[in-house]
Amino acid sequence: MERSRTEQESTQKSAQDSARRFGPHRLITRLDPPHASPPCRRYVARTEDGERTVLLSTPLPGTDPARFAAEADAARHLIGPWVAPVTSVAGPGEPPWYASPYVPALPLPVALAVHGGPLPEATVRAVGAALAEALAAAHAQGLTHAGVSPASVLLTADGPRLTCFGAVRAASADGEPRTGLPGIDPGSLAPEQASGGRPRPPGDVFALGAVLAYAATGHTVPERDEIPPGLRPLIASCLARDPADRPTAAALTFAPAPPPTASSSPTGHATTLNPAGGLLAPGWLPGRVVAALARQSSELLAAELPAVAATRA
Amino acid sequence: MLSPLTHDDPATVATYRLLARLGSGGMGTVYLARTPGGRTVALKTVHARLATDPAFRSRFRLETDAARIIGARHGAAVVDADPLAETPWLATEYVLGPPLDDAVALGGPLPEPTVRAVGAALAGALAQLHASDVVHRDLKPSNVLVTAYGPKIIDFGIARAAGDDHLTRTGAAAGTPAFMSPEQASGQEHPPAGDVFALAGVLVFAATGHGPFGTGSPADLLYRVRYAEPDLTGVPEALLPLLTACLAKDPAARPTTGFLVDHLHDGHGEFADHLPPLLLADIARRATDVWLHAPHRLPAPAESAVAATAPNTPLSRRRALTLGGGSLLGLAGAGAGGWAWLNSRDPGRSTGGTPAPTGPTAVPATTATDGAPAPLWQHTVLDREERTTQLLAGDDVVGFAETVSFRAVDTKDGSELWNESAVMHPHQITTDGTNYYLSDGNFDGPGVLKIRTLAPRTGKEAARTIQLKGIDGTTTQLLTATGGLLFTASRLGKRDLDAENVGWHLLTVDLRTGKEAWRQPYEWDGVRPWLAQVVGDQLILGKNSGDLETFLLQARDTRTGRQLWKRRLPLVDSDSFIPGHLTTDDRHVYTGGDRLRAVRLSDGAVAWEYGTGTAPLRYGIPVVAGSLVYTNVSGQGLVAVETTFGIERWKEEVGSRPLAPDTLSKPVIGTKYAYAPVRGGLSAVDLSTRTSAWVFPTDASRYVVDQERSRIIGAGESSAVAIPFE
Repeated sequence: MERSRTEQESTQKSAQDSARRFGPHRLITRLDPPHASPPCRRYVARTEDGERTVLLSTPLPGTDPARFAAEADAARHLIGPWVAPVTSVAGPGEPPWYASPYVPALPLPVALAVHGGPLPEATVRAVGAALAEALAAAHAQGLTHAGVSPASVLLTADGPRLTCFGAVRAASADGEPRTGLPGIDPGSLAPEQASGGRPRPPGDVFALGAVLAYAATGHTVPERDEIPPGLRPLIASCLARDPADRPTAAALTFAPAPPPTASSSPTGHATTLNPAGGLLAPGWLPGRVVAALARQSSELLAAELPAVAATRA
Repeated sequence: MLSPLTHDDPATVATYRLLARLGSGGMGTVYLARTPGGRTVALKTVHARLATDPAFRSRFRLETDAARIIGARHGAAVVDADPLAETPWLATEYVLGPPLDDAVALGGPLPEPTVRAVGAALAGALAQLHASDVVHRDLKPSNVLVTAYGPKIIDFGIARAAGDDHLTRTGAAAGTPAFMSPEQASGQEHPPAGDVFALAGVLVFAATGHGPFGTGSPADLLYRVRYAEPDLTGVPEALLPLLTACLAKDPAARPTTGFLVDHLHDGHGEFADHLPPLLLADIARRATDVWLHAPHRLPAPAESAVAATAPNTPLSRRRALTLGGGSLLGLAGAGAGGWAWLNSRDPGRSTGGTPAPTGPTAVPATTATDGAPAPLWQHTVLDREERTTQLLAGDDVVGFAETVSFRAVDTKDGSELWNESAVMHPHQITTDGTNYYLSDGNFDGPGVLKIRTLAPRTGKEAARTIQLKGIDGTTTQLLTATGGLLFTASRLGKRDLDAENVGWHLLTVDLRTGKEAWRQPYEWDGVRPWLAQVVGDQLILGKNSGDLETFLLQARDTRTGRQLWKRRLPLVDSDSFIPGHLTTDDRHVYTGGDRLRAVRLSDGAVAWEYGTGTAPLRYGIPVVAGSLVYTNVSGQGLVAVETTFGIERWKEEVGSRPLAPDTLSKPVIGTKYAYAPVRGGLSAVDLSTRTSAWVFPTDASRYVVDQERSRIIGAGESSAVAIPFE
């Protein structure tokens, strides 16, 4: 009875309208291109009053909503610059979603597409350093991401952001093989996790190695010589089959960085933009990726919600 | 860049809600604004006095039409406009890119490929304009915005050029004529070829950092534009023939825009491929910052509040001094030491009420060495424990939290105004610049936090004592006060030496209602104090971690106490930090240590670091002035770094005299000198020569500036002193 009443109410609105609302937000656009398979659905949305623009995540179809909500709630406690901060979540009885303040962001695969191929080594190092820091902080708090993959990583102007925390754990119970599930990138799944093992930190480190391999070559399972020599030992150690052979996220070091191109000065001082060794100095993102971020920002600055009166009808 | 709204900016213009100021000038103000549907725009408004002139209104309309003609590709897309409104306005897209002059200021002259790409795109834009029978008339670096997809031309010269010809003839044109065409400079019609001349000037500027006719008075520039050969020093050789041709005095001899499009650039790659890293980083930052900006509005100047508590008439000032003198005489026996006046420039000081110096004057006979100024006043024996906190209130009272008392001193002559022995420890007192706030509690019996409000000139209670029950007020640390809120670190319960480490909260008091505004628990790790600073709606807190190995920074919402972010930084020796040592501007908090760091206020990320961290250098407590952050570097001297990307702007030239920079004291930045604390004194680094002009010998290690009286007040282990601030 409860269900049919809800259905009745929703048919009073236009079907399109209800599909484009989550809590106080109305969807403006999808963040991911068609045919992409991130571990969760990501949209750019805006509150009805036009005030706040957010990055909004919802579970993929077939995911346990309660589990998704529980994982989202756990992710709220993560603090740090490399994790998209969850600032609001679905209320009780709502379909699950959570939201972070919007900043211009490109999913890693989109960044490779606009750049026209694998990213420069300096970019890969910067992404690696920041993601390792994010995972180390999460692991220290007892949280495992479990779904690190190229699509789960967003590039923003000042560094990468790890998104879709916990979404993959919600996709299946521990003990069931996880291959073939929606949103799971087989190339980024640690062997012990693919076979249904409980996601643990070493699985995240494996996935980080796969993400960096992807950024540097364009695929998660590259031939060894495709990877730039400077990154090979690091990526290979993350991709060790035995979890015990992998370094912890906290132990990963991405220095030495190539010398910054623009900001070194003859006095021996250099300006760097990140604790992990100057990896986010100006120029860490290639020009076309910056251009794509600026275009996304411009388009969303210009985006206007349709007049409120029209949608309330 | 985004600046806060001021208290007299309107909340809305038409249906647009204002978010921030982007700039203001002779014509009006440009705001970042938002429609009810959430579209964000740049909103240009016209000054009311100009809006009453019908001729100006029609020119504003022409300007709007021209902006529509140039379109979104080569200009800022026009969203809407109302030239007929009481305050005429024009809403355009908010363009994500710096003006060309800012771009050059940021990273120096642009590389040749960038200049070529910008030039070809501008030539294409002019071609399109000219095809629509529009000439720009005012092409100059500040009217060209460099985005990741190409330059955009803004601000046509219509509103100024039309009807202002007489001004250009007399050389009194508003703005610089450095990029005018010779035709324009001689008061003739500015043909399309005039835009080509101006374009070449813009490209010379982009490639070298200077215009082809230099700088100077408008009359000189107008003359040089008409008759002098352009100065192309520094222009890449391959560009010389083309730019020289464009700068021909004869309009007919200049190349066409189409020719320039073909010959400036071969069209390979995308525009962004040709931009240098710093420019890309600036564009990316603009694309991001506009989303992170939390609108806030600057409060009205607090003059009225100050006047209420600090009477400013000569008569009452003298009376206050009398009171101060009386209390000095009454309490001077507590070992506070003597006071002396040197070289006081105030003729009124000899009139009744100023206390006679007691004890030894103890001013060294040779205070002024090698050109250092004589102190305006000086007194001895202040604080042997070096726990002094300096608090400036009402612009003419400086407070010193001494070992077991608090002393308020007139910045004019150093005379003591009052003394409060209830202040046992510096953490019991703070100020919002208007009043002093003093905390106390019960040593026996139930816990209570008492907050007294003291008028700065009299030390009398300026408001009812606030009492909050259930808090051990004897251990409370007052963090900072602003906007009617007093922020504290307080322990719940009553005084209990066995429970000193439990129950700690950040607790905020609403000074207007006398009630608690919010409290949030935090884990006590044995270390105080919290350094605190309020920026907009954020309370920024910093302190050492309990293991003394990291410096903890965090941001909280001033209205709820909710933690917005936190960050650990490597930092050594910050245990000697005192309140006032947290350095912020509206975007970053800056810290020293093994490197100079800027931590972003929006999310706590490290925006940049300066220094390799490998050399055994220590970076001192920084200070921000304008767009530069200054800090002492151990063994080297003062360094100035720009705030956005941490790029070094200049370093102190080390002179013949070896100086030992003090990295635990905050420098003071004036307009003539940057004052850098060094061992044994305060070194005045001349901002034009970047060398130390003189060193004022003092043991002071903490300084505040009384802007109104143009003086620096310093305090050290055994003296307090005032010297001129230039």
